[in-house]
Amino acid sequence: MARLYGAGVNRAAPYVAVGGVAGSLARWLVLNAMDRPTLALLIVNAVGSALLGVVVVRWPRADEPERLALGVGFCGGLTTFSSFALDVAWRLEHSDISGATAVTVSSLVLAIPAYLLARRVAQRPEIST
Amino acid sequence: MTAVAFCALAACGAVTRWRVGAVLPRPFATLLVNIIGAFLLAALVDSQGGSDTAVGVGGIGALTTFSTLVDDLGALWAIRRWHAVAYGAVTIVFGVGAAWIGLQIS
Repeated sequence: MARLYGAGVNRAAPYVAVGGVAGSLARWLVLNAMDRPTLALLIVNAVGSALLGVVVVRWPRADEPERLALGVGFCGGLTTFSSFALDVAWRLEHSDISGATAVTVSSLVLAIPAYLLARRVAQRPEIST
Repeated sequence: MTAVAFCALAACGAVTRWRVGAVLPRPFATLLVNIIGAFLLAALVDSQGGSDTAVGVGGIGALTTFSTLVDDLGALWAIRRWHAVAYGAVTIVFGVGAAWIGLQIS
């Protein structure tokens, strides 16, 4: 249990907390701005995955403040798995097998390439003029 | 009041996810929070499929993550590809399964 609340947690926790609140508020804003919650879910998960691809390249160390705030906090708060699982389970419960399959496939097919592409762009050396 | 609760619960969700990540090895931390969050959100859902904004969107939404799932998949893929495939499959099957069980008791 020492690692659950070990040294440095008090110092680092605010970064995660503030980033997590900002990301969650952003997700709530997208959800409210759109009348199609599934589409909003696909968008936040793809955008958040892409953003995390940039963050892990720019700040490779897991304990850096920027990584904690932007990666663990913001990207973690912006994206969500629980709504995805509920969306798919709800469709299965209502015998919408094709809808459940479509949401699962499109979640992965949007988020994984977005993450990989963002990593590539972030790894590219700076172009100087 | 909802705004304060939303922010407090989102902060708790994100920090809890982060500390679970410090206790469990890499893909298992994400797997655990995602399965627990999927169950909780479904168990708290109303008859229209909606949830309390502060608890559902704020707290449980911040506890679970899709971006770290993708990052974990990328890290596993680089070492052993079938580990990534297995991790993705286990997350989806158990996550959706947990949500389905949650729906049965909601």
